[in-house]
Amino acid sequence: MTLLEIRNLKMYYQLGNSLVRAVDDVSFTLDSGETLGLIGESGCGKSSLAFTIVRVLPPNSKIFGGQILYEGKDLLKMSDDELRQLRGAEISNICQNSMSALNPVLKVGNMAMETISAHENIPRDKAKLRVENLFVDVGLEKSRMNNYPHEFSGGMKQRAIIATSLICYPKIIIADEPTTAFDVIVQEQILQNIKELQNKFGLAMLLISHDISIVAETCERMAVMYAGRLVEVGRTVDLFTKPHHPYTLALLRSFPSIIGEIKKLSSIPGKPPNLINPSKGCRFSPRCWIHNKLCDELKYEMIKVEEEHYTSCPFALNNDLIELFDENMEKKN
Amino acid sequence: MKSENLLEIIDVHKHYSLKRGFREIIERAGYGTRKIIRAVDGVSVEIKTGETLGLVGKSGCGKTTLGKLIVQLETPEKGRINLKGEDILKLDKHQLMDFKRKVQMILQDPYGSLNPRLTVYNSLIEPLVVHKIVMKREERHEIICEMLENVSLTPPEEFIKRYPHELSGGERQRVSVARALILKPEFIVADEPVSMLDASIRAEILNMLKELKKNFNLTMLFITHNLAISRYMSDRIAVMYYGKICELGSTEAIIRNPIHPYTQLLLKCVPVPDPTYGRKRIIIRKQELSMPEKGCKFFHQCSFKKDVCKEEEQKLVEMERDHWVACGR
Repeated sequence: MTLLEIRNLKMYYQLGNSLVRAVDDVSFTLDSGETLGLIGESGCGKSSLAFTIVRVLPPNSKIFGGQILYEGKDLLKMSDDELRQLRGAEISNICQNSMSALNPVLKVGNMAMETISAHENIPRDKAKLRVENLFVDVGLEKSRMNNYPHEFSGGMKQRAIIATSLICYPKIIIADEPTTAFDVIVQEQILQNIKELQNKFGLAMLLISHDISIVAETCERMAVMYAGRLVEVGRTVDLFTKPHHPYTLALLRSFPSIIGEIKKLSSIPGKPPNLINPSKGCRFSPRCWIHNKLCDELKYEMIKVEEEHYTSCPFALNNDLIELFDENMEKKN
Repeated sequence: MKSENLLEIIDVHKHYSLKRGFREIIERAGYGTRKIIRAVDGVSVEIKTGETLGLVGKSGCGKTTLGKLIVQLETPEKGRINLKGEDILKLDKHQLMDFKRKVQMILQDPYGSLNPRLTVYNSLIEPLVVHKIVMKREERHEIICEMLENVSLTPPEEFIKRYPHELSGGERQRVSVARALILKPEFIVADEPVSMLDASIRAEILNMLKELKKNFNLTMLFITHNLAISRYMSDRIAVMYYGKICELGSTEAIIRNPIHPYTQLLLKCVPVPDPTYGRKRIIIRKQELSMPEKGCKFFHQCSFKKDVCKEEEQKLVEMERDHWVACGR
């Protein structure tokens, strides 16, 4: 069942007299209970997309069209009050910077309690019990509720944030780089924890990351974003084994792995385009390795490759990208 | 003394004492007993000429401190560091100058390590001026342009007049690399040179470092927290845990056949960029216990612990050929 559907969403930032097209014509769906990974380089609009969904945006941003349908209702047509009821209760955020996301003068438990009292009318002791239970679920001791954030380590703060964001049993959780600041062991613990809670509460999750190995392991479906647009969407296995966009493949080949033989990493020459007045056609074309004349005039649309697999590159459809890529690499060397 | 070792680190200690908090000052609690952080606590390692040693470990385990000790940004409390058999802690002023030409560091943060008021040209000319390498302006210009070409900032004329804010993250890191290499050093400490960069740019910088290492006959200490990157870059890997090296061996030995329980845990936690691989996930014990006062620091989390581990700290022992492990089991 489709829980969240985003259609042609456009959100631009006003910068002086020009517009930064951070989210430009993005469409995807999120089913209940599934995990969708959103991959992209920094500055490609991943976080902006997340903020647009819950409409927590800075004053210089403006939504230029599109729909965000949550259970059939359009979030963009809702008033601020209606949306406030939804945030935290139905759609919740785990933010990137755990170090500064907690209020330093509030006890960690009280912050979670505050979320409950904002959304539900239940007695204090019941609310407290709920926080206690969830603290245990995320792997913190009950007594830790009475501590201040500075008494927590980074990993514990992140757990407390996860507990706070789940306290009202939301249906969708948007995790924006939840583990970027941690070493692999803590990262593993937190991802396991999120996964367990997801199964327990039947959560749908949008996991934003720049690390494709995390997405490979935790997400059933993934979307690749480049310069404000989605370039490929599909099941994770399909995208990894038969990618149909040159950017996706180049990204996959730039990641080192600890298994298999050591292959030379490929890099993507050049840098991402400026999102103020980006070029008309395909935005990846200046860096693309199968670039041709038609790319600069290409109209952006998602083309169906197979069931549940869409790409924005029409030239990748008929070719075996992987073979082409390897040939290219050999030529370069 | 073996001649093949470029750098020898022998039982080096570096401790930092913590400042007392406000409350402790008021209450005069723990007066005179300052808490001590043993950032580097008896590390001995040798780096052979021409090899890349990868140093991995979690944040706060002393990786960077060890790097700083090598380039003499910090002085150790105890221990010796030998470069080509010469103790670098006992150098006089002139020798020190020469040492600092031979050993250079590439820093983690390309946004913070370049002076925002200096153009690329001025950033690169500074080491040449300080070390009085070349005096003629034309020659300096030539050297700088050549160096920029080496780090693929082409055409160099376009880059030399730019300020750091006009460069992207990857370009800045290239300038940092150029600055480190312009004195033709023999040894490079690369402290997480790619952790702040995006995947596509990261691969470029890693490949470039590999290439330059070959062309300049460099020996390198590559500090990173990412095992996959360490595997890609290094010939040998040293795993550090709370100020000590717990396992040291060739890259393949460490990755395929880890012996120390911490290394095993670390490797089991590295995500694999392949959805069909199906990595076995393990349940990790909670890490909230405090550090043991004596004995093995990994004791509380170790699944093979013995009574011996609680009492004594283990020394690095050669378990297989060139594969050293500090574990009592």
